[in-house]
Amino acid sequence: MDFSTTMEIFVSNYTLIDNEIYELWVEGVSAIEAVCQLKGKALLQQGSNVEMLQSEIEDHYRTYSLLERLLHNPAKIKDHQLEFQIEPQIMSMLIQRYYKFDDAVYRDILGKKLSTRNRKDLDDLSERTGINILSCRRQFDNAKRVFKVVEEMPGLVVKNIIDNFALDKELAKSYATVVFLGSLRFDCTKRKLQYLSFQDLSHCAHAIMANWTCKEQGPEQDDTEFDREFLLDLKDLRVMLDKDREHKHLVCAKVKPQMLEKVFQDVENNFKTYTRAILGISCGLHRSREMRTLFIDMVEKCLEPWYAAHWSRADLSIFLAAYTHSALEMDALREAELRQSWERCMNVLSACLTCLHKDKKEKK
Amino acid sequence: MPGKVKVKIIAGRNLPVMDRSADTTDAYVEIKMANITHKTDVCRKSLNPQWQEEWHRFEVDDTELQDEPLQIRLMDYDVYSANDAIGKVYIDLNPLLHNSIDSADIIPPSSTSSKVRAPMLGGAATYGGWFPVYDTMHGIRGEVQVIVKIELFSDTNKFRDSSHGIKFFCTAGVPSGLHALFIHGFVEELILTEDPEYEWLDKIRTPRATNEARQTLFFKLSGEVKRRVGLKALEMGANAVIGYRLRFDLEGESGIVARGIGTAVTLVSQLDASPGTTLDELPFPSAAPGANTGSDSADNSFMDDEQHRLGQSNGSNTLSPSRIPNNMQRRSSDSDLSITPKGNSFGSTSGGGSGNNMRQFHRHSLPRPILNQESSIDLLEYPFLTLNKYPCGFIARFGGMVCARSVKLLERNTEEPESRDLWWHELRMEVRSHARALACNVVLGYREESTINDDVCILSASGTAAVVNMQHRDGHRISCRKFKSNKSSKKEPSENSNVSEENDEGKEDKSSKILIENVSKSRRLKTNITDGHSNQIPPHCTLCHVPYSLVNSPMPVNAIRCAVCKKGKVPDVLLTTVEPPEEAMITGRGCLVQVQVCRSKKDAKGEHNAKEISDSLPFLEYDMYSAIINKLRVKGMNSVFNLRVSVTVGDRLIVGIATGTALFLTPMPAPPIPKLIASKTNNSRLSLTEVQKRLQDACRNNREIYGVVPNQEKDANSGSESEESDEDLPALELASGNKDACIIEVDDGEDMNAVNLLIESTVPKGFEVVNTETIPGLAGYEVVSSLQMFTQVWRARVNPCQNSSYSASLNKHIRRLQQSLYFKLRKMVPCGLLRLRFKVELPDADEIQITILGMAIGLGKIAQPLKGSTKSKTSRKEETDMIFKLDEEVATIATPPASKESKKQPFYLGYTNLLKNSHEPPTGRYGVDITPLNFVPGAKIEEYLGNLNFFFIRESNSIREIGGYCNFVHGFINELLAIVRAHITALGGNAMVSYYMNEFTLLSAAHKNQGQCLIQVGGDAVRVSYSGDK
Repeated sequence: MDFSTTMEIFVSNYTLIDNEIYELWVEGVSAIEAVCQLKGKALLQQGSNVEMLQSEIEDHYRTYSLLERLLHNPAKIKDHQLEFQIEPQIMSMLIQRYYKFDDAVYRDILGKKLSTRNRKDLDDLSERTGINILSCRRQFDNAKRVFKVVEEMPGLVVKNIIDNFALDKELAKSYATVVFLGSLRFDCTKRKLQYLSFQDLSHCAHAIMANWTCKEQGPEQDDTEFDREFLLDLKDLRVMLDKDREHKHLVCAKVKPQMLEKVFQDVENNFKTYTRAILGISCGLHRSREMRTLFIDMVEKCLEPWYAAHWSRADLSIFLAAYTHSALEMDALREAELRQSWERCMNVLSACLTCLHKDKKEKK
Repeated sequence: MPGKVKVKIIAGRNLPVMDRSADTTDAYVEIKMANITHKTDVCRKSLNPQWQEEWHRFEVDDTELQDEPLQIRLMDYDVYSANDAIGKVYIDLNPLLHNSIDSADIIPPSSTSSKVRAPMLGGAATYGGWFPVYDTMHGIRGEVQVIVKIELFSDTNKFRDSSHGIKFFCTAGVPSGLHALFIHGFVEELILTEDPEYEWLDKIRTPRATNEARQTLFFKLSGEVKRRVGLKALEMGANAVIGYRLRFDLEGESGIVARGIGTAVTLVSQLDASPGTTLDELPFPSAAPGANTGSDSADNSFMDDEQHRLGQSNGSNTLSPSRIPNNMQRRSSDSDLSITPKGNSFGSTSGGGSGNNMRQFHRHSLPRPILNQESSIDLLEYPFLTLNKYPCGFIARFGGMVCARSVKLLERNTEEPESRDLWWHELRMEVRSHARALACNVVLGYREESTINDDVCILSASGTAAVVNMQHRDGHRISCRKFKSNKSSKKEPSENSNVSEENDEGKEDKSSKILIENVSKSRRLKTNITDGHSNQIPPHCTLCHVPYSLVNSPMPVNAIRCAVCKKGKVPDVLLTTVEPPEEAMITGRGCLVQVQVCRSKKDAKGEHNAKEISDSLPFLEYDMYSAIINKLRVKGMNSVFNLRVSVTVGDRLIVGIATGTALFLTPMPAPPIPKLIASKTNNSRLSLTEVQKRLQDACRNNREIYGVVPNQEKDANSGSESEESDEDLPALELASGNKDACIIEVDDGEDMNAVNLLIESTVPKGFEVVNTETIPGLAGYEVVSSLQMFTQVWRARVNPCQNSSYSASLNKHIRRLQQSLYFKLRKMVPCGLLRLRFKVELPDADEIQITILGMAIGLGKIAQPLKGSTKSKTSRKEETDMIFKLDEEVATIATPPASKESKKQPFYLGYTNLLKNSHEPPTGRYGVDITPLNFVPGAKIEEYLGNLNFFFIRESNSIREIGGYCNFVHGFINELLAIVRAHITALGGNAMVSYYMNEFTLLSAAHKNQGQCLIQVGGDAVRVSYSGDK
C-alpha cells in the first residue's frame, strides 16, 4: 500500500509569518523556486528534508494568499480584522512590504493610464528589468488600487493614502507621485525623459504639488488639482520678456564671482534665449496640454542648451537662484501678487530643473 | 424560568459588495429567536452600515432559551429580485444563562472578576461585540456588531424542563480555581433526529439553504442535549457538568445522533471551600434534590478516614511550607499537603517547582472531592467519570484500561432514539462489568466514540477501571468488592447479568475485550529510587498496586512485588486512559507512544460488511495492543497514560491508532529488552541480527534519552545480576521464570516489518512530545508560555500494492507527518508538544485523512536544577546541545511586549537569528489564545465564561478558483478559528481552554469542482490574566 499525498496543511491559531518566505512571496517567486532558494539555509536540523521545507513554504504561501484579500484594503484591516491573529506591528510590516515597489516598475507606469492594456505590457517590462512578472503585476495593481481610491478624494493626497492604506510616509509619498502624475497625465514616457529615475520625477512632482495646487486648508483643498487662478496669473509674467536687459544685468552681477569665466560668458551671451525659454514655459502652464509636456519642455528648451554649453549642476543652481532673486528686485514685479506668482513659479522650476539636470556621468 | 432576550444591532463593517452595478450593498438584519423574527431597517448603499436601533425584545420560554440559538442574518435588500443573504451569526445563549444566576458561587474568587463583569447588574448579562458574518458558500463576509442581554425571571419550579444554572465545562478535570465538593456521577443524553441533507426537500433547495438548515439543527441539538444533560445533573443535585463531551454521529440516511456525556459535580469556589467549612456541615446531596442525608454510616466512615489521614500527614505539612501559594486559603483539616508532590520529586509538572505564584495553578492544593457517598457509587447505574485529571489522592489504585466495542447495523426508518440508548447501555454495562471484574469501583477517563462506514457503525466505550478513595487510603489490600447486580438500575434490571451474551439476529455483532495487558514478565526493578523520591511519598506506590486479588483475577496476571514498598503487588504493565496523577512515582520523563495498525477489508455491504468488520476487530486490537506493549519495552517504560485507541473503518481498510504517553512508574518493574528469534527456515539470519542490534540500540538510546534507567539498574546490566539479592528473590524467580523475557518471533518479512515498526524515529532535541496535559517528569525545564495551537491535516490517495504491509506504510507516513510538524515548529524550541490528538478518517474507498491537533508550549529553564545528579546532567546536556536558531519574529509572537523595538528593524530578520534556549513567561498576550489544554500556560484563569460548541459547514462550487482543496480547507479552519475567537471576545474572555475539534469531514467531488467540509469545534471560554496585567 502506498499513499500519494493530495493535501497537507498546517493551520495555527496565531498566524505564523516568516519574513524570508513572505519576502519571496511578495516578489512573486513560486513556491517551488522558493524551496530551491531556501534549501541551503533551512536544513539545519537533522531529520528534515526538502519535502518538509516545501510543505512549510506551501503553508505560508496559502496563508499569504488568504491574507492578500485583506492587504488590498489595509487600513480597515490593520486595526480590526478578525480573520487572522497577527499583532498590529507585524501586520503593519506585512502591509508596507506588500506595497513596496521597484523604482523601475513605477518609473515605467508614471503618466500612463493604469488600464488593462497597459497591464499586458508588463511582460516586456519584466523581461527588460528581470523583475518577476507577478511582482510587476502586483505593483501595477497596487498602484491602480491606490489611484482608484484616492484620485477623486478631496484633501491632501499623501494623507489620504496614509489614512486609507496605512502606509509609511515615504511610501505614501511615492504613491502620491503615481497618483498625481497619473491623474494629471504628465508625459513622462518620451525617449528623452527615459534617463530620469522614478525618484527624480517624484521629487519634481512633490515640488509641483507643494506650490501649484490647491493646498489651502478648506473644503476645496486638493493637492491633485491645480490652482487655476495662479496658473492664469502666470501669464502676467510676460512683462519680464521686455525687461530682459535689466534682468540680465542684475543676474550677471550676482553670478559673476561664483562662476567660471566660460560659463559666465555663456550666461552673458545667451541670457535672452534662456529667459525666453523659462518664461515661455511659465506663461503656457495654464494650458493643460503644455502642463502635461512640462518635463519634456524643460529638457528640450532649457536643459539641452545648457548641456551644450557644459553647465554643471552647481552652475545651474547658482544661475537659477540669481535669476529668481534678481527679478524680485525689479520694478516690473513690484506688485505683491505678481511677486508671489513669480516665486511660486520659480520655486518649482528651479527645483525641477536642478533635479532633472544630470551631469554627463550621471546620465549614463 | 422564562426570560427576555434583548438584542441590539449596532453596525456592520467590511461587508461584501452585493450590488455589482453600484459596487455597494443595501444591508438589513433579520434577528430570529425561536419562531419570532425581527428586522432592522435597510441601511442603503453602505459596506459599513450603522443601524443604531432600539433594542429588539424577545420573550422566550425557558427551554427555548437553552435549545435555540439566536440567529442573526444579514441580508441585502433588492427592490426587484429576491433579497440575497450575506451571511449569518449564531449566538448560543447558554453562557448568558449561568452568569445571571449563581455566578456568586461559581465564579472563582479574584479581585478583578467582580468589577470587570458585574454579572449581577439588573439580573442580565451581556454578550456583545463584533461577530464575523459567516456564509456556508463564501466563508466570512464582513462583521456585525451585536449586543445581547438576557433578563431571567427566577423560577424554582421543581418540574421545569430547563436546566439553567448548570454550568458546563469541556475541561476534563476540576476547573482551576474551583473545588469539586461532590462528584455525583455520570450523566448522558442522546438525541436522534433527521438529517436535513437527506430530506426530500434537499432535492429542490439550494446548497446554502441545506447547509444552514443543518447548521441551525446542530446548534439546536447542542443546546437541547446540554439542557437535558443539565436536567439529569440537576436531579442529582449537582450544579455543574465537567468533562462534558458532545459528539455528533452523522449516520447519513438514518439521521444524526447527538450524544453528550459528562460528570455531574457540585462545584464551589475555592474561597467557599476553604475556611471554616467542615465536612459534616456540607449538605450531602442525594437523588432527590434538596433532601439532605446528612450523616449516615457511610458518611461517618468517611470522616474517620479523613481524620486518619490527617493524623499521618501532620509531619509533612511542615516540610513544604514554601509551596503553599499565599493566595490560596486552605481548610485547616485538609490533609492533602502530605500527598502534594514536592517540586523536586517529580521535576515539575506544569507549575511545580518554581517559586512563582503566578504560575502555580493550585490544582493540587484543593480539598479532595468526595464521591457522593460511599454506598452510592455502587448504586450508580454507571459508575463512570469522564474526567482525565483527578485531584491528588482521589485515585487509590489503578485496575487498568477497560474497553468494549460493538458493531451495529444502521437501518433506515425503523430507528428510534431508544435503540441507540440501548446500544450504548449495553456497552456501558459491559464496561462496568469489566471494571467490577477487576475489583474496581469506578471507571475513570471514560469516553465513548463511534465510527460509521456506510450503514455499519462501531461503537466503542473505554475507560480506566480504578478504585477511588473512600475508605481505605493506606490499606494494602482493598477488599474485593463483590460483583452484585445493580439495584438502582430500575429500567433494565436484567441487563446486568447478560451483558456478555452475544446479541445475534445477524444484525449485530459484538466484539469486546478486556484490555489489561499483563503479558509476560521479567526482572524487577530492584532498587529503590534515586535521590529524594523514596522517603517522601512511599504510600503512593499503592497507586500501582493491583486492586484485585490475584487468585481470583479474571485473567492471567503477572504481578510482582512493588519495587518501592516491597509489600504490594504491582502488574508489569499498566494502561490507563487518564492523565498521570501527580502523586504517581515516576522515573525519567514521559514520551509519546503510538501504534498504527491497518488492515484491508472486503468491500461489502450491509450485514456482510458488519460481519467482516466484527471478525476483523479482535485481530486489529490484538495487533495494536501487542505492538504497544512491545513499543513500551523498546522505550524502556512500563505504563501508558491517556491512552486513546481509535478505530476507523473505511470501505477497504480498517485503521486503528493507539496513542498515549509512556511513562516509567517507579513501583513497577522495568520491562525486558525484546529479543528476536527466527524460525529455522528463515534464511535471512544476517538481517535478523542486524535488526536485533538496531532494536537494542534503540532500547538503549530511549532509556538514556528519557532517563528511565536508574543508576543501579545500569550497573546491573553491565555487571552481574548478583546484586539482586533481596529477601524476596525467590518469589521473583517464580514470577519471571522462562517466559519472562520478551521474545518476538520473526518468521517472515511481515514479522520483520512489525519489528521494524517498533523502532521509532527520535524526536529532535528541544522537543518534548506527549499527549497529556503536562510533561511528566520533565527536568530542568518547566512549562512557561503557550506558543501555538495547531491543526495539521494530511490527506492522501491510497494506492494498493502488494509488496509492503499496510501498517508499515501508514506508520511511515505518520512518522513523516510528525517530523514535518517538528520541522515547522523548529523555531520554537525548547518547546513541548502537548495534547497531541491523532484522528484518522477514511472518507472514500481510496482516501485516507489524518488530522493532528496539538499545542506547542514554551519551555523555560528552571533557575536551579532541582533534580538529582542524573537528571541535571541530562538537562545540562540538552542545554548545550540546543543551539537552535530562533527567529526574531517567533520571539515577538511569544513575548509581544518585548517586541516593541524590533518592529523598527529591517524586514530581513531571518538572518539576524537569536540564540535562544529558554522561553520566558509572558507578561501579557495579544489576541485570544486557544488551547486544547485545560489551562493556559503562563497565565492564571480568572473566570470561566461558558462552554461553546460550534458546528460549521463550508461548501464551495469553485474549488479550482479558490486554489484547490488545500486552500479551501486551510481557509475554512482559519475562518472558524476567527469565529471562535470573536465569540470568546464577545463573552469578555481572552482565551479558550480544552479546545477540541471533533468531526472533520471533507467531501470532495473534484470533477464537479465541488467540496464540502464539516467541522465541530468547541471549548471553554475563559478570561485569564498574565503577570503583566494590572
